[in-house]
Amino acid sequence: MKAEELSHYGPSICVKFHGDYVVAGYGVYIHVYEVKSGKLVNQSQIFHKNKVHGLAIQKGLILAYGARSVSIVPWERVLKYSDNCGLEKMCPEWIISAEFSFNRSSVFLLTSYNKVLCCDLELTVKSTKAVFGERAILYSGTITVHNDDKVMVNAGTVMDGIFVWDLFSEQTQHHFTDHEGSIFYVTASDDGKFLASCSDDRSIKLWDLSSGKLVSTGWGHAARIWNLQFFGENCDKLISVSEDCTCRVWDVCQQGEDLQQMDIFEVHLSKNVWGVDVDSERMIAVTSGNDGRIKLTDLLLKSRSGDESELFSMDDIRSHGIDLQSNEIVKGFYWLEFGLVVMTSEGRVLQYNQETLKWSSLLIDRKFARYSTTSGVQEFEIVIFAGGDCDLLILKFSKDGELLKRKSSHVEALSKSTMCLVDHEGENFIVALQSPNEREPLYCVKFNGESLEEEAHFCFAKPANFNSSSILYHRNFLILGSRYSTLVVFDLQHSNSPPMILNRILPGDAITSIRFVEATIDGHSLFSVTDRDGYYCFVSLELGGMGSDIVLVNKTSKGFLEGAYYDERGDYITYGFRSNTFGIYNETKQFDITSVLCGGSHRQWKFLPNFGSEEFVLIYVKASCINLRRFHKSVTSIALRNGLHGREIRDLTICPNKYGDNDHIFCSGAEDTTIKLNRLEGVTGMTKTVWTLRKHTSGLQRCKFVSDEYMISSAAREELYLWKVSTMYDSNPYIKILATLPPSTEIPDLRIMDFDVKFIEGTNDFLLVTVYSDSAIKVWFYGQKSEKFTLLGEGKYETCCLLNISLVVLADRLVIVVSPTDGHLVIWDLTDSTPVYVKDQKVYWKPTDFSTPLQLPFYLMRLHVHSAGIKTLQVRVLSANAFLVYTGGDDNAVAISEFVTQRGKSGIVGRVLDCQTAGAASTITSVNLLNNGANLITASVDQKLRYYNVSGNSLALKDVLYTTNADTGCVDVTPSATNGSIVLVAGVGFSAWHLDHEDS
Amino acid sequence: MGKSSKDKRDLYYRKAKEQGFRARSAFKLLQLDEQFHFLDNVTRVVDLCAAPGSWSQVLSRRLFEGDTEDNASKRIVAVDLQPMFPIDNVTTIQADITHPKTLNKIMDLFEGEKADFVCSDGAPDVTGLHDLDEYVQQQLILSALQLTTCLLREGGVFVAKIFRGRDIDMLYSQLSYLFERVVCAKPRSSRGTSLESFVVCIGYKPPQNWKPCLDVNMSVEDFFQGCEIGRLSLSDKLPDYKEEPRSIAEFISCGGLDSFDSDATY
Ligand SMILES: C[S@@+](CC[C@H](N)C(=O)[O-])C[C@H]1O[C@@H](n2cnc3c(N)ncnc32)[C@H](O)[C@@H]1O
Repeated sequence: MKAEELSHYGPSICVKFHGDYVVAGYGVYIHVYEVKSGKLVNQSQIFHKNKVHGLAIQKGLILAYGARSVSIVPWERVLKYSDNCGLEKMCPEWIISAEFSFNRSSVFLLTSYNKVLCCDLELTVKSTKAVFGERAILYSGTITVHNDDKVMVNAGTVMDGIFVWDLFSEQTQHHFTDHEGSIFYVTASDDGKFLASCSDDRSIKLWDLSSGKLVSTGWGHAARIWNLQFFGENCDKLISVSEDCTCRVWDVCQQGEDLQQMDIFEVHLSKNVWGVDVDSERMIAVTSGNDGRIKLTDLLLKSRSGDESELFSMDDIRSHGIDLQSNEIVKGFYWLEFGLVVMTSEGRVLQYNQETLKWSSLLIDRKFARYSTTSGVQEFEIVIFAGGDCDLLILKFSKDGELLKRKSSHVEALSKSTMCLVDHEGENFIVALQSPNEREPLYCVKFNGESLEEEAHFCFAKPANFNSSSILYHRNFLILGSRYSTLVVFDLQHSNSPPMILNRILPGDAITSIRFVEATIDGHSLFSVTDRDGYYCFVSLELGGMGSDIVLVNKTSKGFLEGAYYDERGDYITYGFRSNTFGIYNETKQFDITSVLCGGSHRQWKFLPNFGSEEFVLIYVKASCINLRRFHKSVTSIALRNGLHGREIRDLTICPNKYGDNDHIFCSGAEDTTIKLNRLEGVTGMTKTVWTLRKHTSGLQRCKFVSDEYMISSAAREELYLWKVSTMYDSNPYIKILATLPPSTEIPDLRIMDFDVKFIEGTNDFLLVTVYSDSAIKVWFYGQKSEKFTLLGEGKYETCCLLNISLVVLADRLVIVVSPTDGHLVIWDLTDSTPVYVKDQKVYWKPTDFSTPLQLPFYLMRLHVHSAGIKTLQVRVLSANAFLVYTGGDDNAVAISEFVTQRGKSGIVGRVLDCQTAGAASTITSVNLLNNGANLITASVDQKLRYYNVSGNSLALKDVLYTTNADTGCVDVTPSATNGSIVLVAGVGFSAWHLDHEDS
Repeated sequence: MGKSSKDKRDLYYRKAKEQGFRARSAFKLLQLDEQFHFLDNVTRVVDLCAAPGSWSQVLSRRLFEGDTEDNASKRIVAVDLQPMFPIDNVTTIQADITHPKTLNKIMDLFEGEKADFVCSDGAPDVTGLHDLDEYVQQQLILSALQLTTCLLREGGVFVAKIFRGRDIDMLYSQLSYLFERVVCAKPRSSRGTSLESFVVCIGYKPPQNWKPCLDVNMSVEDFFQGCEIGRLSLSDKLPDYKEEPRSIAEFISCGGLDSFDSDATY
């Protein structure tokens, strides 16, 4: 067997800027990225097994260390070669920190017992240094090299604070004890003035190294802090990263007891940012975290270009010679290429030219005094004002702000207008006017975008409760989003036919945006819809027909939603308000792009493209001033690498349906309670998350595809969802919930440990069996039509927790195999206690009344296989009356057991065929058959994958692979395009392997 | 190390309350002893990483309750970073067990006598960096082992909490140089969902050609230099990467199938 790790995503513990590059420790690898382009230049393996925990870079050499491994690798080799493991050396103790000497001819290795090994560049130890009597274990430490004669060691202990000692004299200079608990990081500023430290007490302390005094303490992080770096021209700033996923900037130069926090950025997912560095020249920070993400943060994001924000009070506008009334206020605005157009409460139209920085008054039309709405079409350089008495004023400008055309019109069909929505397509735009009177129609006018000539008008009868808030004009259809999350589709070609109405497509209320995504092969069109309450969905509509299908519903973690779109890279970008900020968020990659403190959503605002690629303008009124905030494209790429989950992945499952020709789709469920739908490129193993689903409220237990398109996930609190995955769209795969398993009580506290499914022959209905942490077993029926689960029967094993379940169909019987924590495999015969019958190993529905759930019988038999809980099992049906169960347990054992039914008898006979008690050094968490059952692969917490030949009744170990993913918990396998297997392995981190089963 | 809200629901938590134990961990020691009987006839013991003190309570009850003769020669020393409320017949020290000075203090309390049993239920501040956490955990065990080699009588028993992670088999291998039998035991009161188990090392056999020697200026690693426990020794040149000896210890689940399952919801 030949094995190759195709890709790995997992914790990155250290990052460093080096010229135009970012160098990151990434598992056993070093990654080198180009800052500008964000491109991965090379991935080079540095250590055989240990993770790279730290780096020092000098004079063309990289000094990398991690655990007890250390290596000095020429920079050229790191850039060019994929394997540099040959240079790895072993240190007898864990290396806490390492640095080059001042003249770069040697290196210092600070080890975990507060000793420094002074080595030459061949890593021969020339001398060792330590402070007499201070040899307790360290949690942290750094080395500050001042010159050839002065090197200071900053050591952080478990309970004795910080020791700062002189390397060459081996004398303690400072012993700081003001922190509580273990010191997690300590570092000195380059100029030797300050020391900064953090501990279990969640504070940052700044110490004056000349006086030996505590200068200030910084509070703010909501969890432990892992790393600190001084930066800035005069080391006058400090950056910190924490378990709370943020990085914060602190002002070192201030006076007073409190270290002042200057800025905060949310940079990583769910838990733990480990590494941080700052390029003080470019003022960019790089961080790395447990989520496998390497992220750049522009520390000057809010001020970099200088024209980001402008603010105009009414007096500012007056100072341009405009005679505004004393009580005149802004009523609306719109952004065009030349700048801003504003409507005031006097019906005055103002214009601001961003080139000349001049305000001018264009006209006054009293019809728009008091009440007006302002909208426009950027593509046509048009602004549209609608007055309360159904007057329209349309102004068309040249690119540099000259008024080209002006058109006024009045709509007779309505008595009043309170809402005016505008959208365009092709050469035209449509203005939809809505009256507060329910009986009055929705009145729409179609204009030509060039001539402003009216081309057609439409009168639509409004459905009940119609109160539109967003519009999309698409291919002769007008789609309006209304209150109660209702979509109404009007056909412009058949304006008399009743509209298509989709009620309650989202849990929230007002629909804030509708966007066209793609036309699909079945003639439908896919749209993205957002609502103000933070939900979004993708809905497929048969325009001109009646068909519709919601393919995804999700909620952003980022407050309210005002809109969303796919960007150039295919990332789904959302924007909206969250308490008092407006933010733009990359929902696909799950990070903040930018945010503005604007005082919240209850104000006039518009968010529009800024006539440049991926640039935007937010215009809002705050304290009767007009604020203009431009969002420029970032100076760097934002994420150099995106990982998957921030916490342990508990389970993963590959969709039997491929996505396109080469991509696989898989779902992963983690401790962080999210389920992610991911795409995996079959050849390279490159993986990216497409959707992050926040439906579960507790840590995931299981997720499993049960058919080509159905996936089930389970968790604590009796949560179980049935999901449907759609793979027919080009833009992305989509996923939504079809059904929810009803919990047994109002405050459920049981964990659904596992489940299994068998489909009723020839239908999409299925039987579901769930097992629980209180030893309960439940049997359910899922009806595709009703989209509901019905409880058919329940039973109990004993009192212990049940870990796994498998449904097995034999000749004429339906049995379940359950593994409790007591090491048994327990068999029940469900044939007579469920309304199904089994024939030729197929399950059929037996029409019966099952209004009261049946009691499951006592178990048929049980077989003691493991001496502790069976963590994983896989069943292989051998024949109509026999099956094998492959198991792995907490007792480190891997076993095969055989179960046989006897003709004419109801019993089942089981026996253990093979049990390898030393199947791993730790808990076996996954067994998977592959290569059509010829091989078995196990995963265990000792971070090993063991590959067996399965021959008859026994297992023969063929290969042991090492995985970087700690807490190795789950594996899934699928055939690869080249007759091998793709194996996905996850725990803390994720890897994709390719196995070639041919013996080489 | 589950969440505290879960602990509240836990049966062992309730049982501990009923029986006056400070922590549910008491049952881990009790179930281990039920299996191995290592507390039969012991008189002098060390409980490392002992706070809040439920193991010390078990030990105190076992050594001092009922039988009152020879109490003078009996001794229980408990050590932790955290302060501990007093327990009858237990001498407590607040200190870091990785600090060589701490071991000296304990030795002093034994006044040259040997101990019959050393245990450590230590767990470090878990950072979430699995390799670091496992290393620190193993260092706690090695510190305990350091004391053990200085203090434990031949044939004595050493018990320590382990997390069965990546390098656990390296620890098994090291321990097997010093003890006749090394078992990995998992009490039923320890959650199956946690990586926690206990290494039970039976029959201490001090190495022939190595004399343990506590020195306040030596780290745990320095201490074991020259002792053939399969660890790297410090030569002038840092050696190339090589796999160190590993072995898999026998696994025993203890507490009996009739005892409560700590993974179950009751
Ligand atoms: C699980 S608790 C022990 C519970 C105890 N056996 C009982 O039954 O109450 C782990 C203890 O290890 C202690 N510990 C961790 N590192 C230590 C060190 N370096 N020195 C001493 N104690 C330590 C912690 O303070 C903590 O109280």
